[in-house]
Amino acid sequence: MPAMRKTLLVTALAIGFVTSATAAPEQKVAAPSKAEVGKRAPEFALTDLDGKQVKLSSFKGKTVVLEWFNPGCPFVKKSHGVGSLVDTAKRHTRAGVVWLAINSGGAGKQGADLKDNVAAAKTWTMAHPILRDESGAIGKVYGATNTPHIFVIDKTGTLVYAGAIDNSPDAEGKSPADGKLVNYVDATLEDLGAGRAVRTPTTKAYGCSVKYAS
Amino acid sequence: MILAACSREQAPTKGAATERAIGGTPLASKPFFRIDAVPQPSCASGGTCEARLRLTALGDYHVNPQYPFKFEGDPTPGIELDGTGTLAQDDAKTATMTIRFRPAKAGKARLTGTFKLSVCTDDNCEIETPKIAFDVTAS
Repeated sequence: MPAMRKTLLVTALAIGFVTSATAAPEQKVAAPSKAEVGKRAPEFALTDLDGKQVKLSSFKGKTVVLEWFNPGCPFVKKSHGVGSLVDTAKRHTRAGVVWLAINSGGAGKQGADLKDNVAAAKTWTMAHPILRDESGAIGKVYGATNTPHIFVIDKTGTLVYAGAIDNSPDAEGKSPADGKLVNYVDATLEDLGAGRAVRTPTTKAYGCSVKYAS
Repeated sequence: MILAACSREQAPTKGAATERAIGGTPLASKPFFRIDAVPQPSCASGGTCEARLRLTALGDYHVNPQYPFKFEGDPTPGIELDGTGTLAQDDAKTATMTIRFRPAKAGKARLTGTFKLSVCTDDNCEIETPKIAFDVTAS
């Protein structure tokens, strides 16, 4: 393939995955579009608690779960302490799923402080990264309204689930709607594993509001 | 017997008129909520009776309509609790928890339990699980 054609092809493929934050200076890339279930998940590049950059596109070919996170939110505390988030990430990451917590709290807002996140990761033995989105740009692109708020991206990069972690809005797993606890991440990953369409692609997230800077 | 709340006014706060109407000693309170007893309807031993508790969100807080409110009662001799209560929201800042129970005999009994609640501002939510105790009377 001629070099120029190859370059154009690579650039075209990259546009779907690259945001202005990660774009090479010469690339003209529009701001990422809003996340929408059934469509390609918007790319992002955020830093973890150690300052290491993590890009969604680096997990191409893997299933990715995004968990909007705020260690100061009582619902997050309940879910990580006694509810569905106690072990869901651990179980699925062992099976090869990538789990990323994202904190979109603005500077000075509840749960946004670095040391609070470090402490929470230790308390809840979170082995997965907590990414910081202080500007809130990525949270808003994904439409994250609550903590916790869950998004599942399949191996093709398509957003296949957006909503609550489960159907028990006490965050303890003790008050499930219809009397039976449904962990929506488990259900979504089960559907993906079985090669079928996700049966419940959206639910209403519950919990605290995301503490955006503005 | 559950007593009506009816004494001094609280210091004015930003919020609803309901806050100005409540007073007395709450069954539980924090700066952002209080729980008060509501007068108990008449209750006959052997039948199904109701006790009512009023939750009031204080300041900028409102009752969290998404939350599954519960009264998890402790075992009480002579009282059979029926479920974990039903919450009806009166307005944005107040809600009434109705607790059904069956007293085996006439007289006064003390119910204790945990009221699981959540109140929010536009920016913040709180979950609280105060332990409360109140008297019920059956004839």
